[in-house]
Formats: sequence, structure tokens, C-alpha cells
Amino acid sequence: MKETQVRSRWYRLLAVMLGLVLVAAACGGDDDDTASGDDGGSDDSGQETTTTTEEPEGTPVKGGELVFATESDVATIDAGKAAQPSDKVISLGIFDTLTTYVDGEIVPYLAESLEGSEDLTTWTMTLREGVTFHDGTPLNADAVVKHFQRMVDPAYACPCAGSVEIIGSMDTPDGPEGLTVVFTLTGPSVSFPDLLAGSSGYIESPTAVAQLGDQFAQRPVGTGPFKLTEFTPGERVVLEAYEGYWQTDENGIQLPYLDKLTVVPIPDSGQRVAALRTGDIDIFQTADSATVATAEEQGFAAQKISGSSSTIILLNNDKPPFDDVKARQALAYAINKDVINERVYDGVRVPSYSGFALDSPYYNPDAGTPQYDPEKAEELVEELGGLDFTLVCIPTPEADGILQLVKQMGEQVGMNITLETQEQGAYVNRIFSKSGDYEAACFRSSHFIEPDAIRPGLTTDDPGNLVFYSNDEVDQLLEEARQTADVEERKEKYFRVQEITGEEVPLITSLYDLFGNVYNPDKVGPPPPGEPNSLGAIKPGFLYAAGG
Amino acid sequence: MQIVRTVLQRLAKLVVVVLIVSFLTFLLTKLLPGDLTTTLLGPEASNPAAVAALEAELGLDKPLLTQYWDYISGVVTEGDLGTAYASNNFPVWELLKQRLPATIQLMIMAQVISLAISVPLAMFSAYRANSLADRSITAGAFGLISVPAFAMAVFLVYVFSLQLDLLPALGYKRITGPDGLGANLRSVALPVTVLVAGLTAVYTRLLRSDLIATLQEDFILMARSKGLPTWHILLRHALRPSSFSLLTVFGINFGSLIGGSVILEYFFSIPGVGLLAVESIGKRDYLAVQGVVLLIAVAFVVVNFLVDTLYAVLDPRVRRAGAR
Repeated sequence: MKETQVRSRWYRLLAVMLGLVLVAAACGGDDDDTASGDDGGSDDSGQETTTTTEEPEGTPVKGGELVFATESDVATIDAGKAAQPSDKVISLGIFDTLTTYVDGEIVPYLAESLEGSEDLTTWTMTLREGVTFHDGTPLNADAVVKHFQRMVDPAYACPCAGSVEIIGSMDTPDGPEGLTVVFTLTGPSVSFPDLLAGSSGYIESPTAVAQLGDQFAQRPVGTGPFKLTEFTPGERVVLEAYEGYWQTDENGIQLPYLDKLTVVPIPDSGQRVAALRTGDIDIFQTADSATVATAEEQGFAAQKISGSSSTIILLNNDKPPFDDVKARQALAYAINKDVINERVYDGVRVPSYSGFALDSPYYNPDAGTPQYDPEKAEELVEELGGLDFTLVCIPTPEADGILQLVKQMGEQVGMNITLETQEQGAYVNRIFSKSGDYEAACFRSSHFIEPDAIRPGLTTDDPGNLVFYSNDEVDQLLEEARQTADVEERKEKYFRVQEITGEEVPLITSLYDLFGNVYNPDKVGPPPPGEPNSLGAIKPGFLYAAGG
Repeated sequence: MQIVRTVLQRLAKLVVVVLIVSFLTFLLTKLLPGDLTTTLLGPEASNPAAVAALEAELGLDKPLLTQYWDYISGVVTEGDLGTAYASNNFPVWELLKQRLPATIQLMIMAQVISLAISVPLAMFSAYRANSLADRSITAGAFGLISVPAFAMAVFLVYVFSLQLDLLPALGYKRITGPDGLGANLRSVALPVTVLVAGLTAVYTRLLRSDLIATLQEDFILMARSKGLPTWHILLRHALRPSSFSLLTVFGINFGSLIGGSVILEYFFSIPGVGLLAVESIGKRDYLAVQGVVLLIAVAFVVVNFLVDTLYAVLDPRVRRAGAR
């Protein structure tokens, strides 16, 4: 089993974490929201734990233009690289993924079908017929092959390269202009279809790539419902409906519903709500729960998506003090997640004790992950003879709130915690470069429907293992779990993994993140469900203007 | 001949200053922990092969001096400011071109309006020094200087956008855009107001103190005894010799405003140079940072060159000193 396979989804996961770190940094700076407190989480929003919301109600109407605000400017919308939710809203309009999730099940999307061999090493994909890119190039096997070659090209420098390298070779039995591609993986993997549901699965026009080269990133061309007609960084992105789009909804209406979607970045969260009120925008996307609450009070509607990621504390398992399991357990017992939820998030979020979302079939509720128990924590600290460490994070108001609370809770049980903040660019480098230069650090982790996503983060010596955790039994279980398609078998293994990590606490999860798409219900129809592999970003092709 | 020599000397100094600033910035950004490859590769950054390949591709594996030399020779000979790799490979000059209009518009409008308000206000204030009117103006100026820009911004948005619905809360509409000049002016009204508040307060106070000092001079007494009207004395005789501090600060402010006001750009979602600089630093997008710094350095140096020249024009003492 080669090292490369082991890198599979964690890279996407970490790319997404990076995106979230950037988002968190970008939306920091608005004390008014967290400090104002408003009235606490009186709504039931905190109990939503699904990774998607219910089906949109109402009847979609064709036509109309909307303005969508994101929290930060476009980082990149190119295939394989688009990682932040702000980028996904745009890239999911320009591109289609080869597969997608519907009601928690993975199904082919741009592909017509995707079949795996018994041993899960060979996958045969048939593409839809008659699909064209925005520039008229037909979608065929050649485009798909060229896409994956580009993803692993070192000159393209894709963060996805590590996971895409699982493709050993590709074959086109009907020739490059045919619609069939056969993938031979470097090893068995049941999660291959899941890889194709994220930005690694965006198929871009090979003609455009050949013509534009490096500049393709500024004018990406895909098969998606919208063509990119304007991209002015820092100002706006304009998407216009692509008349030749292949998909129609169940009532026969050709997608997208909208004629035009303008995406603008609004970094300040207070201004986002103000812009909604003045009508400068129609809908915005946010990771800030307080903003969602404020907007709802002002009469706007909010689609809440929880469980797609959570904030976590990384612990360096490789050096003191957290190389000792007792130290890790002590910190886990000392943290009161409900209090953090109340104080920092107005009670709107849900505490997390697992790397899986609560509604995942692989979530083990009896894993034995430490719950708040200050006495036990104190005991362990005594046994250790004291526990001193530094906890580092990026300087956002949200992180500050959490850090201060953790420090207090630690001190209550006899720990001595030094807080450190570091600017995001350097911080990300420190963690991703795996220099091991930290003791405890805050981060974010995503929860994908595909359970294999947790593997790189826990496997010994995997580049995606940011906590330097090493347990042979876990390594073996995770590897076995991805080589079988049998759900019961996989469940058994993932349950056992959670038991072990519940005991050994390689890292501490705190709260599930809550994302919101807040909109004016007079202008915007209920948005489509959030995409599980895109941090809850929605497919803009399904967004529609409210009728009348 | 003398003038040509002076100008050439000044020009040479300008170029040296710009080069030094550019080189120092280059070194400083390279010294920051973290680098462009991590921004681009994300988690893949722990893969040394990928990092090495990317560094070779972007020329980041060459020695620092070589990198800088390649950069500056490209700028000087071809006007090539490089590519912003962390901003979707946009050429740096194109990013600057996109961001400059907003920043320049804010800068020029704020400076001109501030001057238009502060000069008459200061003249009035100095003329009626220590009266109730003057003291109110001074207190008002202090007040405005003390209010932080973002607080004023929030307040203005609350009043004018949310309550009165007169102006947009954010965004920048270009003059060349579909909605034309009207939409453009409305979109910059609030940020310009915030800038004007701060600048006017400072300019008023500066000019006022200098005017008060000048008004004590003998030649003013002489002009009064000749029976000249007050406004004539203020405008024609007192203003010129009192304007040097104001002129100096005015010039310096052009330099700082061209760097953009990051807080206002962030709050009002204005695509200006300031936010570009901050974001590029965060992403370690070296060439974009270099480009912005070069822009600011050149602007600063040119404006101050003009200010120096203006001194010579306005102040005969400087002219005479130069001629010796």
C-alpha cells in the first residue's frame, strides 16, 4: 500500500480547514456582534445537526437576478483549488462535479454512471451525452483525462495533488472523443467517488486551458449552469446563465433558474446585515452564528447548516507535555463546551465529541470521549505534577473568546496555560509545514459524509496528520475500512477507531460550526441544501428569485 | 541651468529613495515566517517535492539578491511588475490598475473637500481668535480628531443608510459603470465624509495656529492701517506665509492616502489599494506587495517633490536661498 493513497481526502479536508481559517480571519474584527449578545439562542437553530437542510419548499421560478454576498474575496475558483465557502458558491456555478451527494448518498452528476470493480481498484465512468463547456467544446473522455493530468501537474501546484495521485492510470476505451473513462487506482479505495464530489471533480474546458494557460484562473470555463462574465478581484464576480446547460429540474425547467448572479465580498459582518436591509444585496453566506441570529431578529430568513465542520484544538502528540495521554485527557476533561457555546456563540452551536457529524451513520455515541469533568481533570493534573503549555490561535474575536475560556477552565483545575496569537499567514504555515512547533493550537476540521476522510489525520506519518498521532491498531482499522464497500463492516471499524481515540484523545473537538445563508424572503426563494463536500456552500444553479 | 541641475539632483534622490524602500520591503516580506508556497499549496506544503517544484517554477529558489535584481530590472526595462501568484495569476499592474481608481477618487475628493472647508474655517477662526465661535470650532475639531474612523463610519451608515435610506451602506460604483456618476458619488459619499472629518480637523487647527502667528506680524498691522478690508488681508496677505505647515501635511497625507485607508476599505467594501496591500501581505504574495509599495513610494516621493517646488513658488525666501 503506497503512501500516496493514504493522503486521499485529508488534503481536501485540510484545504478546507485552511479556507476556514482564512474565513475566520477575514470575518474577525466586528466586536459589535459578539459583544452585543442580543437575546440568547432562543430559537431551535442550535439543534440542527444535519449536514444538509430540508428540501427547499416553494416553487422555483425561472428568471431574475440576485446579489449574493460572501465573507471574503475570492481566493481561487479554479478546479481542484477552490476551497473556501466563498469560492465554492462561485465555482459550483461555473463547474459541475463528476459526482454529488443527494440526501446523503453519493450519485453520479456530470458523469452518467460510475461503477467500481469488486476489489475497488478499477472504476469505470461514463459521461453524460451532449454536454458542452461554455466555450462550446464538447465534454468527452479527453477532457476528463486532461483534467486529472492537470491536477497532478507540479506546475499547477494543486493542494489536491496528494489525493488525486490515487489515480494510477486512465484509459479511454472509446477513444478520447468517447464518453468512457476507466480509472485504475494505485490501491483499493471505496472513497474514490467521494473525491469526485469536491473541487477535484470540477471538469474544466481543455480548450480554454490550452488557450489561456496561467490566465485560466481568471476566466475559468466549465460545464456549469453559469458562465463567468466578470471577475474583478475585491469587487465582484458576475455569473450569467449558460443557455446550453445540460440540466433541467424535475418540472422540466432548464437550469439555472436565475439569469444573473452577482457575487460581492463584504468582509464586515455588521455591514452584511446592513446591506441586506438596504437592499444592496439579497442573500449572504456567513460562518458567524451571531450574525445569523441578528439577521433573523430583523425579519430575514436563514438557512442554517450545521455539522459540516467543527472547531478543534490540535495537541502535539510528539512532544511534552501532550506526548503523555494523561495530559491530553486532562485538558479534554477540563473543557466545558456548553459554557463556551453559551458565552461565545449565544448557545446556538452544538458541542462536538467526534470527528463525525451527529447524523452520520458512522458516529459512535458511546465512544467514551471525555465529557466535562473538572474533578477528573484535577486528578490527572495532580498525577502529572502540574500541566503547563502554550495554546496558540489566530487573533479573531471568536478565537479570543474561546482561548480565554479555555485558560480559565484550565486554571481552575491546576493547569498553567499561556495564550499566544499569531497572524494567519505565519500560523497556517507553522501548522501545515508540520514543523511540530506548537503544543496546543486551535484549528478547524471538516466532516465529510465519506468516513474515510478522517483517515489521513490519524494515520501515522501521514502528511495530513497534524497532531503526530500514532497508533498501529487505528492505522490498520482505517486502512481496512476503506477497502470494503460493506457499510456494516465499515461501521464496526470506525466505531472501534472512535473508541480508541476517545481513550487516547489525539485532539479535542469543541463545537460544530454553524453556517448560515441569510436572505430576504421577499426577494429570494428558499436556497437549495448545502453541499456536504463544500462546507455547506450551495449550488447556485438551484437558487431562485422569489416569485411576484 | 541652475534649475535643471536642481531638478536632476532631486530626481536622482527620488530614484534612490524609491529603490531603497522597494528593496527593504522585499527583504522584510521575505523575513516574515511563512511563504507563498504554503499559501498556494495548503496542506500539500508538507510535501517537500511539491514545495521544491513550486519554488523552482516561481523562481523562489534563487538567492535573494538575484530575485530582487530580476524583479527591479524587469520593472525598469519592461515595466513588468510581475504576477500575483496568490491572486489567480493576475499581472500585478492589472491589480493595481483595478484598485487605483477607487483609492485615487477617495484621496482627491477627501483632500480637496477638506481644504475647501478648512481654509475658510481656519481664516475665520484665526480672525476671531478666542471668541466663542473660535472655541467651538476648536472643540469641534478636537472632537472629530478623537473619534476613530470606524466608529464614525458605523454611525454614518446607521443614520444615512439604515435610518434615512439616502445612501448605500457599502460598495463602490465606478464612474464608468452602468449607473454612472450619480451612483458613483453616492457610493463614495460616506467614506469620503469620514476621511474629510479627520483631515479637516487637522488642517483647520494647523492653519489656524499659523494664521494667528502671522496676524501678529507688523506687515499685517501695516495693511490694516492702510484700511484694507479684512477678507483681503486674510486672503491676500496672511494666508500665503501661513500655509507652509498645512502644505507639508497636505503633501504627506497624499502619500498616506494613496496607500488607501484599510479600515474604511474593509468596512465599506471598497476595492482599494490598502486592502490589496494587507491581503497580499497575509498571503505572502511578494510581487503584489512589491507592486503596491513601489506605487506608494513613487507617489509619495513625487508628491513631496511637488510640495517642495511649491514652497519655492510660494515663499520668496526659499527662492532666494536656492539662488545663492
